Parts: sequence; C-alpha cells; structure tokens
Amino acid sequence: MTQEAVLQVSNLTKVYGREIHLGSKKFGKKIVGAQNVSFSVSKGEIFGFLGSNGAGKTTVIRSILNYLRIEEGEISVFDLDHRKDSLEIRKRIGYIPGDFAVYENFTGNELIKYFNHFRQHDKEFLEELRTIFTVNLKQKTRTLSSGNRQQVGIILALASKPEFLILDEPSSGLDPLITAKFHKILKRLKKEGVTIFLSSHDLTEVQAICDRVGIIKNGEMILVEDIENLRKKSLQHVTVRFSSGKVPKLKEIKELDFVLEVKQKNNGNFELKIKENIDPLISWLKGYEIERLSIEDANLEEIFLHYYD
Amino acid sequence: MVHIFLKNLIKKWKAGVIVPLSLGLFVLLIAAIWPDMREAADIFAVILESPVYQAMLGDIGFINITLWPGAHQMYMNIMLEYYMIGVAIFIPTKIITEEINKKTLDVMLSYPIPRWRFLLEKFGVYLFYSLLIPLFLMLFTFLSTEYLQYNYAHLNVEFDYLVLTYSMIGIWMQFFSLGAIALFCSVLILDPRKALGVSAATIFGMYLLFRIGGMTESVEIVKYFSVFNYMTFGAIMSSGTFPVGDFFVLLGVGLAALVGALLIFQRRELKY
Repeated sequence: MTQEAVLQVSNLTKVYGREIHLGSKKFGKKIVGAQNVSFSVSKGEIFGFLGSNGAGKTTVIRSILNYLRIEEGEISVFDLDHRKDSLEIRKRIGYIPGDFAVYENFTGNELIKYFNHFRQHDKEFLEELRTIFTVNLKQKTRTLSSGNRQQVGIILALASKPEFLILDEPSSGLDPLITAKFHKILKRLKKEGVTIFLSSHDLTEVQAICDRVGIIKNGEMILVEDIENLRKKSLQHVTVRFSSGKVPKLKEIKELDFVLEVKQKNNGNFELKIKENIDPLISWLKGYEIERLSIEDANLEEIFLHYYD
Repeated sequence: MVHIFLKNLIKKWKAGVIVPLSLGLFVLLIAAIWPDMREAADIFAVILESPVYQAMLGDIGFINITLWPGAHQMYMNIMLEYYMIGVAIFIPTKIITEEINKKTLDVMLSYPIPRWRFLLEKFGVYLFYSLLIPLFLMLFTFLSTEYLQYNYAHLNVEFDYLVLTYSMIGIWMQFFSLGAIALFCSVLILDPRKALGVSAATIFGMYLLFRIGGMTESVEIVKYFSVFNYMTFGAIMSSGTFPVGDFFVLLGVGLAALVGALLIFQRRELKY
C-alpha cells in the first residue's frame, strides 16, 4: 500500500474463555473470536468490513477501540498503539457501535452539547448535519424510533468531523432517503481525506460506497480486495444463446473447468456462472456460432455468498 | 473539567434530593408523635428488657426513648441501617452495570476520557447525594428540636449538635466505604445481575457479621470485619466522642476499594 495507513491490524488473535486441563479432563471452553486477522485501511479510504453474524466483526472493532484485550498481534491507529495511546486515538475518531444506544433521558441537543465537552464539534459541519437529518433533536432519545435514534448516533459520531470513522452497521433502521443522504456525506468526507471503516450487513451499501472490502469468516480474514477488482476477478454471469446449428450439451458445459454453475432456460439460453478470468470462455466459445452473448459482473452479495459457501 | 459529574448531578437531582428529604421529614414526624409516644414508653421498656429483643436490636435495646435524643436515635438506627444497605448495594453497583445494561458504555468510552475519571466522576455523584442525607437529617433534627422546645417547654428537650455532627460524619463515611466496596464488586464482575448479587452478598454479609458479632460474645470478633461496626450512629451518640480510629478504618477501606475499582476499570477488558 503506497498511501499512509490510518489503521494497521497485524495478526490479531482474540480468544474468549479459557480451557483448563486437569489430567485427562478439560474444563471451560475456548472460543476463537478472531484469528490472525491482518489488514490495513489507508487515509481517505472507505473500507467495507463484511461477515455473517458471529464471524468476528465486532471482536475486531472492539479490539481496535481497546475494549477487548487481544492475545496476539498488533493494532495501530494513526501509527499509535491502540492500547498505550488509546486516549490520543479517541481524540481523532468517531464511532457508531452496532447496537447503538445513548442516554435515554437526554435529548439529542443535550447529547450533542454533552459530548462536545469531550471532543469538540465542527460547528459548521454540525449545523449542516442538523439540516440533513430529520430527527427531532429536542426530543428525549427514549421517545425516538430506532431509526431516529440511529440518526442521533450518526450526528454524534460525525459532528467533530473526525479523521477516522469506525461505523458498525451505521444505516440500520434508516429510511432509504436518509440512507442516501448519509452515503453522500460519507463520500464527501472521503474526498476531504476522512478514513472510514464500515462494517455492514448491507452489501448494496458496501458496494455503493466502499473502495475496498474485507470478508471475515469464522474469525479469519478470508479476503481483502478492491471492490472493482473483486467484481472483475470473481464471479461473472454469462448468458449465451447458440445458433441452432451446433449447440453444446448441458453436461459438456458443466464439465468445463471455469464454469461454476450452468442452467438451461426454456428459451434456449444458457446461464453460466464463471469464475475470474473470462479468456477460457471466449476461447471455448470460438468453436460455436453465437446468436446472443451477455456478460455481467456478479454483485457483491453473490461474491459474499460464494465465499461463505 | 467535571462534565460527567455535573451532568449526572443535574439528571439525577430528583431522586438524589427527594429521598434524603423524605428521610429528613420523618424526623419531623417522629418529633410530632414523640410527646405522646413517651407516655407509652413504659410498655416499650418492658418489651425491650427481654434479652431476645436486646440481642436483636443491639444498642437500640438500651435507648431511653422517654428522652427526645433517645427517640431520635431509635429512628435513626432503624431507618438508616436498612436505607444504607439498600442504597449502598444498588446505586454504586449500577454506576457501571446500568451503562452495560443499556449499552451506553461503548459510545461514552469512544470519547477521549480516561475510564478511571469517568468512573470517579459518576461515583462522585453518589457521594454528593449521600452527603445530602446527613445534611438533611441535621437540618430536620434542628427544626424538630426547636419545635419541641417551643411547644413542649416543660419537657426540657435538649440536643447535642456537636455529637450529632460527629455521628453524621460517621453516616457519610459508611456510605462512602460501603459504596466503594459495591463499586469494586461491580467493576470486577461487570455482568449486571452477577455484580448486583455479589455486591448484595458482600454488603448484607457484612451487616450480618455486625449483627451476629454484636449478639454473642464468643463470636464478637466477626463484627470487626464489617464496615457497619465502625462509626455507628448509636455508639457515637452514646459515647459523645469522635471515634478517630473508626474514621480511619472506614477511610482506609473506602479508599482501598475505590482505588482498586478505578485501577481495575481502567485496565480491564470490557467483555460483556
């Protein structure tokens, strides 16, 4: 990576629980939350962090924030040690936890004022956020809907215009209109050099705004890739209709190395899922007369499911 | 500088003021009924002569309720002990466990504030409002005594306010010490239910040690392991002196538990 890394995670390993061996008996249970997780996020980048429930996303995020003690590995944020320099790091970050909750007996405005004491808000940007988000900040947060409470969380995390945003499911509960506005803000912040670490279940969201994506499965980072490359390199949907003269048999297509899946439709079309390189397909198709051919990149959801299969 | 302290002080003022105020108002109530109550004191005296009652009530069993300070002491002993147990178990334990329960800790601690300071400022709110208890009690004791002196001059009601001040310092020191112990338990355990259970077991256990040690001479030693044994209201009112040794015991226990809680919370992982 040529650009300055804002977040650097190397060989992060986190184990929950303990096992005690007494003779042949074993007591307790060890659960691996994260194992040898390594990745980095560059300045001004939006990094999408994907994984199913319990895959280890929250473990990684809570480790970065020094809420959890890691067994092995190193984490640095702004080249500072996540543990020793935690206070310094927290001056420069904004965070929305996955299960966002704030003090229920405070109004949105009171929360903004309260948290301003700890991390100074960017007044101009805060006013802009007030106009963008529709939540009534005069209402106590306990009376707000979950979506509106989430808006309060977004305002709080963004208000100081931090250099690094850690967002865990930030758009959960938001309506599509607010989500679109929120994405627009994130893209603008990225242009201004803000680094964003976005953990999300919403693959469309990740696909729409992220530059790179990391996929975690069973506590292990199984992939870190540029979104565009990933789409190019990964699955592709091919629809082909052969001229009536020479049509390959379904079985023959299934046996091709580069074909992951094939279906024959009633209209005579073959729908193929192929992996990575398109060249072998093109070479193979040369032997046939083609009436119609379309090739599309798979969406992130399919790629994600492919890695999770 | 102390925004967490001030904000929580404001947000919790209703419960923080109303409870000490109501405890204080009861002193007025006792003062109002005491003149009639003292006429029936003989019946009480017969009951209190029973060794069973004396063992159960401890110091209270020897109180002369025909005198206003005695009736006042009876009320204070009974009400304060149970109130103190309840407050010291629930309020300091909930300082952190409520944040965990309501999932507000993660957002709060993502701001640049040391964990120990966050905890200390919130504990400061508990200390502030528990200080209101002795202050209100003193105020209402003064008002009650004035009322009795004015309306029942023939009873020659008197009250030693200096000794009352000593005993009020004792009450606050007990709140401090017990609260710090409960706080220590809560940051050690973190899990809201378990923490509450451990705090309750520790504080109520100490209360039982105090009571059992007071009942039987052969196991008297156990009461010295209880915070309730030091600077007790009754003992100070009876002796009329400030128990310097007891004060330092409570201060030492309270500080040790508080510093322990701050250190643990600063360093421990927040796994819940």
